Amino acid sequence: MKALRHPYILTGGAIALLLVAAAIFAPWIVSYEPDAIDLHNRYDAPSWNHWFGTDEIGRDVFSRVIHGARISLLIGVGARTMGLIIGVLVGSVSGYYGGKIDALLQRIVDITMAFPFLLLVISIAVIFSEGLWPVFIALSAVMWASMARLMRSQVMIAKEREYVAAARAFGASDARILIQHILPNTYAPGLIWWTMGLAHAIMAEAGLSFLGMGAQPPTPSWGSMINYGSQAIRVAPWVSLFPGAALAVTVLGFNLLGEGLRDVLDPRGQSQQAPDGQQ
Amino acid sequence: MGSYVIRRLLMMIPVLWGVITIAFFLSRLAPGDPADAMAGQRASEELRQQIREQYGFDRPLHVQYGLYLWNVMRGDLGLSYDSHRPVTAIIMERFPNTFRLAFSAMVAAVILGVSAGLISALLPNTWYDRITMFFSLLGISTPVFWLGLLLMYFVSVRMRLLPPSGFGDGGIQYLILPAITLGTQSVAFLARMTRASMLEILNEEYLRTARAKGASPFIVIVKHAFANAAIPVVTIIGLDFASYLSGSVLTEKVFSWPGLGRHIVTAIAQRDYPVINGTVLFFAVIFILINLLIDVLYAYLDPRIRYD
Repeated sequence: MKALRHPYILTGGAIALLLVAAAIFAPWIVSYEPDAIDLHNRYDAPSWNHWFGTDEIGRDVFSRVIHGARISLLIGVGARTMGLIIGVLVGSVSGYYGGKIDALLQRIVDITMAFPFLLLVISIAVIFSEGLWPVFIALSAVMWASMARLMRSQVMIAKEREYVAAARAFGASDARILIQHILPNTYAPGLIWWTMGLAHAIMAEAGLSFLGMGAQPPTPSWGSMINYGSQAIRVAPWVSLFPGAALAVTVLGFNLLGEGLRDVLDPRGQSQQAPDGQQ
Repeated sequence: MGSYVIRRLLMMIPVLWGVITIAFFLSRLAPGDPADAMAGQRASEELRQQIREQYGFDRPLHVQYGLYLWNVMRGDLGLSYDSHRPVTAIIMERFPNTFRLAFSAMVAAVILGVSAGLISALLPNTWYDRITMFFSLLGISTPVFWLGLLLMYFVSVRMRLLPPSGFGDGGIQYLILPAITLGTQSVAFLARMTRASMLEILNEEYLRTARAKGASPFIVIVKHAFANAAIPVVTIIGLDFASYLSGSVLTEKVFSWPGLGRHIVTAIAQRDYPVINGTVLFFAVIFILINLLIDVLYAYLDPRIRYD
């Protein structure tokens, strides 16, 4: 397997595996409950008992960081997958049928991408009450657009291929041609898009929680831990710095994985995608 | 060139209309009676009624939509639920601070990022190149708000070199840390992009020709190579600047910088919908305008684009 020898895929994959393991086995890895309060040990510095120290009400920061991986992965993978599904549907219809429906769908894509990414996510999420669902809905509602654009171009290229003409000559329906013949040939750009944007989705979730939206206390989300911890940066920097480091390593891991996959699966850069926007 | 700019300006209209439409529906989806919220709890029924009439909250949705479009075009984005001041006035007051931060971050990022990328491209696969590329990947992956806290902790709290947050009297010492925080991702992106596009161009035949006819290495690199490599770099600069102007929300919150981004955070906490939607709309328009400016600049740098 050429892919497994790529240094970016190796490093990024190892980080991703560690993260998944932390999320699944969180209760067995840590020795404290993530929301167990211990007022006698507020703001304890990192020690053998509390590897990452304790926070403002004596909760174990290490335990919260490990449990935080669950939220990050859940929202990241969830929103990215939902964005992928919507994007593939819209992009396939747009690219396959062309004409007026394509023009209409592409204008919707244009408008979605005309908004600064984080701000559009904020203005959608703020309509709902606080919690993780609004973040998931808002991220999915914004992230599909770049996938739709990528998918449209892939379908437009694929539909001119001979095997599609052959399938059509045999009387295959549009849906059958799309699902059985075109989509399987566009998996590589889709996979790269999904992986590269995972880092972005995780960072956006953390950003929203940092702003006080998204996960609410006592849910251990890295973003809200950084937010609450930042208020005590002078006396207890570990409360915000460790969750931030976990977030940075996670984002780095998925960025490496995405770049590595692109090197291996798409050396000519055909799946170069428009970014979702930055913060 | 003139007709290209006009065509691009015309193409902006449907996108702007769509953006305003989305902002309208987002503002109507927000819970609560906007007239009650705009007037405040202690306001008289007359004032509430006056606001309802002014913004058409008592009329059918399509009329409300028409009024919204009309108001937005006149620059009226409604009243803040919290301060009862016009949203446009708040934006005009706060935006210069956001601009100052974004501009400083961008200038620093361009100088550092482009020069690091240029040196990397001229010394490919050396230690310098590998270290620069590693740090640039690290820079792209570091969440801005975490980087801000790191800098605040080490530079301000531990070393006491700079003030940790705030605006003070507006002195440059308050600007340095937020600008570094905001600009780091751009330094990383610009270094990677400059390196990649320079490497591509350094192999082109016209550079060999330039060298063969005896041009000095400096002239070859600056005049022939970099002038051509600059196009994708300009795109990144423009896109990043647009997103800084429209989204320094996180950095402004970390450093309590009194810009528009910080204000939107306060508005979110108070669920002050006119401020949130008005600011998002304002940012989206800026975002679109800067994108247009990049396209025009692009057409100027590479005349082939105009004929597409």
